[in-house]
Amino acid sequence: MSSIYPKAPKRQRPKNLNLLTIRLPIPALVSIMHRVSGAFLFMLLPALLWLFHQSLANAEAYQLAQLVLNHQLAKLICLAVTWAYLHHACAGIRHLALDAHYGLRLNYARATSRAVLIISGLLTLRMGIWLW
Amino acid sequence: MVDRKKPAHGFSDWAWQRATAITMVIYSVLLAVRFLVDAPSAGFEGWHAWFAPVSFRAITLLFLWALIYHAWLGMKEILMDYVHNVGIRAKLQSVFGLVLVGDAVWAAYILWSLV
Repeated sequence: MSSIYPKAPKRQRPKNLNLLTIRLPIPALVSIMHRVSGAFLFMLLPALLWLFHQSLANAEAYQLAQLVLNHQLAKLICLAVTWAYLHHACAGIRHLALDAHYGLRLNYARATSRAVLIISGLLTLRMGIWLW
Repeated sequence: MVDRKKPAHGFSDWAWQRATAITMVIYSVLLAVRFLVDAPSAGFEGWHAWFAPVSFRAITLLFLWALIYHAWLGMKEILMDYVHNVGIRAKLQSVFGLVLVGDAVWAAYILWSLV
Protein backbone atom coordinates (compact mmCIF):
# COMPACT_ATOMS: atom_id res chain seq x y z
CA MET A 1 0.00 0.00 0.00
CA SER A 2 1.57 3.29 -1.05
CA SER A 3 1.32 6.15 1.36
CA ILE A 4 -0.36 9.38 0.39
CA TYR A 5 2.14 11.26 2.51
CA PRO A 6 5.38 12.57 1.02
CA LYS A 7 8.41 10.49 1.89
CA ALA A 8 10.55 11.77 4.72
CA PRO A 9 13.98 12.85 3.51
CA LYS A 10 16.54 10.08 3.89
CA ARG A 11 18.99 10.80 6.63
CA GLN A 12 21.57 8.73 8.35
CA ARG A 13 20.32 8.43 11.88
CA PRO A 14 21.70 6.30 14.63
CA LYS A 15 19.40 3.37 15.35
CA ASN A 16 19.51 1.18 18.42
CA LEU A 17 17.03 -1.62 18.82
CA ASN A 18 19.14 -3.72 21.15
CA LEU A 19 16.88 -4.32 24.13
CA LEU A 20 19.88 -4.95 26.38
CA THR A 21 21.47 -1.56 25.80
CA ILE A 22 18.36 0.63 25.63
CA ARG A 23 18.09 2.71 28.77
CA LEU A 24 14.40 3.52 29.20
CA PRO A 25 13.37 6.69 31.01
CA ILE A 26 11.69 5.66 34.27
CA PRO A 27 8.11 6.56 33.18
CA ALA A 28 8.62 4.40 30.07
CA LEU A 29 9.90 1.56 32.24
CA VAL A 30 6.80 1.76 34.46
CA SER A 31 4.63 1.89 31.35
CA ILE A 32 6.05 -1.27 29.75
CA MET A 33 5.99 -3.04 33.11
CA HIS A 34 2.30 -2.12 33.38
CA ARG A 35 1.69 -3.89 30.10
CA VAL A 36 3.84 -6.92 30.89
CA SER A 37 2.29 -7.37 34.34
CA GLY A 38 -1.21 -7.16 32.85
CA ALA A 39 -0.48 -9.81 30.22
CA PHE A 40 1.15 -11.99 32.91
CA LEU A 41 -1.95 -11.76 35.12
CA PHE A 42 -4.18 -12.64 32.16
CA MET A 43 -2.09 -15.76 31.52
CA LEU A 44 -2.18 -16.88 35.15
CA LEU A 45 -5.87 -16.17 35.68
CA PRO A 46 -7.05 -19.75 34.94
CA ALA A 47 -4.50 -21.12 37.44
CA LEU A 48 -5.62 -18.63 40.07
CA LEU A 49 -9.29 -19.48 39.48
CA TRP A 50 -8.40 -23.16 39.82
CA LEU A 51 -6.74 -22.52 43.19
CA PHE A 52 -9.69 -20.40 44.32
CA HIS A 53 -12.10 -23.12 43.24
CA GLN A 54 -10.16 -25.83 45.08
CA SER A 55 -9.96 -23.71 48.22
CA LEU A 56 -13.75 -23.34 48.39
CA ALA A 57 -15.12 -26.56 46.89
CA ASN A 58 -14.71 -28.96 49.84
CA ALA A 59 -12.32 -29.92 52.64
CA GLU A 60 -10.23 -32.35 50.53
CA ALA A 61 -9.87 -29.88 47.68
CA TYR A 62 -8.86 -27.25 50.22
CA GLN A 63 -6.09 -29.58 51.43
CA LEU A 64 -4.94 -30.02 47.85
CA ALA A 65 -4.82 -26.24 47.32
CA GLN A 66 -2.83 -25.93 50.54
CA LEU A 67 -0.43 -28.66 49.44
CA VAL A 68 0.13 -26.87 46.12
CA LEU A 69 0.63 -23.51 47.85
CA ASN A 70 3.16 -24.96 50.26
CA HIS A 71 5.51 -25.80 47.40
CA GLN A 72 8.38 -23.32 47.12
CA LEU A 73 7.84 -22.80 43.39
CA ALA A 74 4.14 -22.05 43.96
CA LYS A 75 5.07 -19.50 46.61
CA LEU A 76 7.46 -17.87 44.18
CA ILE A 77 4.71 -17.70 41.52
CA CYS A 78 2.33 -16.29 44.14
CA LEU A 79 4.84 -13.60 44.93
CA ALA A 80 5.21 -12.80 41.22
CA VAL A 81 1.42 -12.59 40.88
CA THR A 82 1.26 -10.30 43.91
CA TRP A 83 3.94 -8.07 42.48
CA ALA A 84 2.24 -7.99 39.07
CA TYR A 85 -1.13 -7.12 40.64
CA LEU A 86 0.30 -4.40 42.89
CA HIS A 87 2.47 -2.88 40.19
CA HIS A 88 -0.43 -2.93 37.73
CA ALA A 89 -2.76 -1.34 40.30
CA CYS A 90 -0.30 1.37 41.37
CA ALA A 91 0.67 2.21 37.79
CA GLY A 92 -3.03 2.19 36.90
CA ILE A 93 -3.87 4.68 39.65
CA ARG A 94 -1.03 6.84 38.31
CA HIS A 95 -2.63 6.61 34.85
CA LEU A 96 -5.97 7.75 36.27
CA ALA A 97 -4.22 10.77 37.80
CA LEU A 98 -2.59 11.52 34.45
CA ASP A 99 -6.02 11.25 32.78
CA ALA A 100 -7.19 13.96 35.17
CA HIS A 101 -4.12 16.02 34.23
CA TYR A 102 -2.39 15.55 37.55
CA GLY A 103 1.36 15.01 37.51
CA LEU A 104 1.96 15.74 33.86
CA ARG A 105 5.14 17.77 34.40
CA LEU A 106 8.27 15.79 33.73
CA ASN A 107 9.68 15.95 37.25
CA TYR A 108 6.31 14.83 38.70
CA ALA A 109 5.99 12.10 36.07
CA ARG A 110 9.40 10.78 37.13
CA ALA A 111 8.67 11.08 40.85
CA THR A 112 5.32 9.26 40.59
CA SER A 113 6.91 6.52 38.45
CA ARG A 114 9.51 6.01 41.13
CA ALA A 115 6.74 6.00 43.76
CA VAL A 116 4.89 3.26 41.82
CA LEU A 117 8.01 1.09 41.81
CA ILE A 118 8.77 1.69 45.48
CA ILE A 119 5.22 1.26 46.84
CA SER A 120 4.47 -1.89 44.85
CA GLY A 121 7.92 -3.23 45.75
CA LEU A 122 7.44 -2.64 49.48
CA LEU A 123 3.94 -4.17 49.50
CA THR A 124 5.28 -7.20 47.60
CA LEU A 125 8.06 -7.51 50.17
CA ARG A 126 5.45 -7.48 52.92
CA MET A 127 3.57 -10.27 51.14
CA GLY A 128 6.83 -12.20 50.77
CA ILE A 129 7.45 -12.01 54.50
CA TRP A 130 3.92 -13.24 55.12
CA LEU A 131 4.30 -16.13 52.64
CA TRP A 132 7.55 -17.48 54.10
CA MET B 1 -14.21 -4.21 13.44
CA VAL B 2 -14.59 -0.54 14.18
CA ASP B 3 -17.97 0.86 13.20
CA ARG B 4 -17.23 4.36 11.96
CA LYS B 5 -20.87 5.35 12.26
CA LYS B 6 -20.56 5.04 16.02
CA PRO B 7 -18.12 7.73 17.08
CA ALA B 8 -18.27 6.60 20.71
CA HIS B 9 -16.64 3.21 20.03
CA GLY B 10 -13.09 4.02 21.14
CA PHE B 11 -14.32 6.13 24.00
CA SER B 12 -16.49 3.40 25.46
CA ASP B 13 -13.50 0.99 25.59
CA TRP B 14 -11.45 3.73 27.24
CA ALA B 15 -14.20 4.48 29.76
CA TRP B 16 -14.89 0.81 30.56
CA GLN B 17 -11.20 0.16 31.11
CA ARG B 18 -11.22 2.87 33.76
CA ALA B 19 -14.58 1.98 35.29
CA THR B 20 -13.51 -1.64 35.76
CA ALA B 21 -10.13 -0.48 37.13
CA ILE B 22 -11.80 1.70 39.76
CA THR B 23 -14.13 -1.18 40.69
CA MET B 24 -11.09 -3.40 41.26
CA VAL B 25 -9.25 -0.80 43.35
CA ILE B 26 -12.30 -0.34 45.60
CA TYR B 27 -12.75 -4.09 46.01
CA SER B 28 -9.03 -4.59 46.74
CA VAL B 29 -9.16 -2.02 49.51
CA LEU B 30 -12.36 -3.51 50.96
CA LEU B 31 -10.81 -6.98 50.85
CA ALA B 32 -7.65 -5.81 52.62
CA VAL B 33 -9.73 -4.04 55.28
CA ARG B 34 -11.90 -7.11 55.83
CA PHE B 35 -8.77 -9.26 56.14
CA LEU B 36 -7.43 -6.95 58.83
CA VAL B 37 -10.68 -6.46 60.74
CA ASP B 38 -12.36 -9.84 60.32
CA ALA B 39 -9.72 -12.39 59.28
CA PRO B 40 -11.05 -15.83 58.28
CA SER B 41 -10.42 -18.45 60.95
CA ALA B 42 -7.95 -21.21 60.08
CA GLY B 43 -8.82 -24.19 57.94
CA PHE B 44 -11.46 -24.98 55.35
CA GLU B 45 -14.43 -24.29 57.63
CA GLY B 46 -13.30 -20.76 58.43
CA TRP B 47 -12.41 -19.95 54.83
CA HIS B 48 -15.71 -21.36 53.56
CA ALA B 49 -17.68 -19.44 56.19
CA TRP B 50 -15.85 -16.27 55.19
CA PHE B 51 -17.48 -16.55 51.76
CA ALA B 52 -20.93 -17.43 53.09
CA PRO B 53 -22.48 -13.92 53.09
CA VAL B 54 -24.25 -13.35 49.78
CA SER B 55 -23.18 -9.69 49.76
CA PHE B 56 -19.50 -10.67 49.91
CA ARG B 57 -19.91 -13.28 47.20
CA ALA B 58 -21.74 -10.74 45.03
CA ILE B 59 -19.03 -8.08 45.25
CA THR B 60 -16.35 -10.75 44.75
CA LEU B 61 -18.06 -11.87 41.56
CA LEU B 62 -18.44 -8.24 40.48
CA PHE B 63 -14.69 -7.81 41.04
CA LEU B 64 -13.83 -10.94 39.05
CA TRP B 65 -16.08 -9.92 36.16
CA ALA B 66 -14.61 -6.41 36.19
CA LEU B 67 -11.13 -7.97 36.12
CA ILE B 68 -12.07 -10.26 33.25
CA TYR B 69 -13.59 -7.48 31.16
CA HIS B 70 -10.58 -5.28 31.95
CA ALA B 71 -8.30 -8.09 30.78
CA TRP B 72 -10.31 -8.40 27.56
CA LEU B 73 -9.86 -4.69 26.78
CA GLY B 74 -6.16 -4.80 27.67
CA MET B 75 -5.38 -7.92 25.65
CA LYS B 76 -7.22 -6.44 22.67
CA GLU B 77 -5.00 -3.37 22.92
CA ILE B 78 -1.83 -5.45 23.15
CA LEU B 79 -2.87 -7.45 20.08
CA MET B 80 -3.59 -4.27 18.15
CA ASP B 81 -0.13 -2.96 18.95
CA TYR B 82 1.93 -6.05 18.18
CA VAL B 83 0.01 -8.33 15.81
CA HIS B 84 -0.35 -6.50 12.52
CA ASN B 85 -1.67 -9.38 10.43
CA VAL B 86 -5.43 -8.87 10.61
CA GLY B 87 -6.29 -12.56 10.15
CA ILE B 88 -3.96 -13.79 12.89
CA ARG B 89 -5.05 -10.98 15.18
CA ALA B 90 -8.72 -11.87 14.72
CA LYS B 91 -7.97 -15.51 15.55
CA LEU B 92 -5.94 -14.65 18.64
CA GLN B 93 -8.63 -12.22 19.73
CA SER B 94 -11.30 -14.90 19.54
CA VAL B 95 -9.11 -17.36 21.46
CA PHE B 96 -8.54 -14.78 24.22
CA GLY B 97 -12.25 -13.94 24.18
CA LEU B 98 -13.26 -17.58 24.58
CA VAL B 99 -10.77 -18.08 27.42
CA LEU B 100 -12.11 -15.01 29.22
CA VAL B 101 -15.76 -16.00 28.74
CA GLY B 102 -14.80 -19.37 30.21
CA ASP B 103 -13.10 -17.61 33.13
CA ALA B 104 -16.23 -15.50 33.71
CA VAL B 105 -18.57 -18.51 33.77
CA TRP B 106 -16.15 -20.41 35.98
CA ALA B 107 -15.93 -17.51 38.45
CA ALA B 108 -19.72 -17.43 38.74
CA TYR B 109 -19.82 -21.20 39.19
CA ILE B 110 -17.18 -21.14 41.95
CA LEU B 111 -18.99 -18.49 43.95
CA TRP B 112 -22.52 -19.75 43.40
CA SER B 113 -21.90 -23.47 43.85
CA LEU B 114 -21.10 -22.85 47.51
CA VAL B 115 -23.67 -24.38 49.80
